[in-house]
Amino acid sequence: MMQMWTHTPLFGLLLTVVIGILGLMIKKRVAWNLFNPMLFSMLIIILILLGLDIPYAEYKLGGDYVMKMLGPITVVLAVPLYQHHEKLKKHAFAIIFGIILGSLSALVSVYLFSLMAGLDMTLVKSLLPRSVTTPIGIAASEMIDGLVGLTVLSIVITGTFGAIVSDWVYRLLKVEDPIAKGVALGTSAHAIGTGRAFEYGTLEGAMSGLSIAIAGVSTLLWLWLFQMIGVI
Amino acid sequence: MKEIAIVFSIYIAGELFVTGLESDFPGSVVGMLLLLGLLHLGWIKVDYIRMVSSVLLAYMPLFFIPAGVSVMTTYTLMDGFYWQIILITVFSTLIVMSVTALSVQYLVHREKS
Repeated sequence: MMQMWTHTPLFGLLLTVVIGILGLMIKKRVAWNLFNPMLFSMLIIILILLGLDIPYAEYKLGGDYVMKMLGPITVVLAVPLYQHHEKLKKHAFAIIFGIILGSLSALVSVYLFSLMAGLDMTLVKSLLPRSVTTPIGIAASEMIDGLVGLTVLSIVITGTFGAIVSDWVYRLLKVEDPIAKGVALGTSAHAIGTGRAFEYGTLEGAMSGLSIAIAGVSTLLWLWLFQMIGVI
Repeated sequence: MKEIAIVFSIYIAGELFVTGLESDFPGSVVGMLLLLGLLHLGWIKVDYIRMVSSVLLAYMPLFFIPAGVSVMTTYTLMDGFYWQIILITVFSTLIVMSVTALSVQYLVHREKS
């Protein structure tokens, strides 16, 4: 009986929605800011699949339907960016230039460190988009033929670590400007960093929020360029 | 329904654009830039898509789950490289944060003076 209905897309779809909403509900209840609902749900689903001996391919039938929604989600990322664009105007050059430079430093550092560590090209490509917001990171990973699973995990590690260390980094480097603090959190640690930036203040939070989409586009354009000239 | 139709049409327009150019650039990001342009031009108001965008953004983490679960089929490719992957991620994050913060702070100060 169980075996029968796991063969249909409904299985993966329902499992993702139920466990996904459970993760989001826990996120609302717990006081722990760094609780990651995606990571939680993902681990629970992997445990369920392994525990019930259900092949990933059967989960994927329904999972693919959920993944199709990433396109429309990426499109609406334009809304928060547009809503904050007034705040961008005054220091547009500083902010955009900083993000372009920051996203380049992400790619160059991952590439060089990976070569030093002896990672093969598939792993390097999976790690390259790790500093951007997840929907754009998944799209970027698909564009350059990375492993999306590894990309998603490295994005979560990046955001969580960035949110934890920002205070320490800013003190060490004497970063006091609220615009710089916010933009750097959004560029280096995407939405998780933005959560942290709002704890500094609303200006920091807004700056971080608008940086997410700009950093995503900037990273994607750099990757596209690298692919064009044959570096990756 | 109208809200969903607007967002999906823009997404499909983005996908058609990259398909037309025979590029593997993500159509979704082209769609995002298209929506940003339409909002700036005032052809689309945030009100037209308020519901659908706030629902999608609020439930966003849910849609990443299948991509995350796919790691169970590819984790063997990372064998022996777990620590390297974590260290690369951590050090690169420190670099990005520092480079961005210092360059923005420098440029903002220069613009102010």
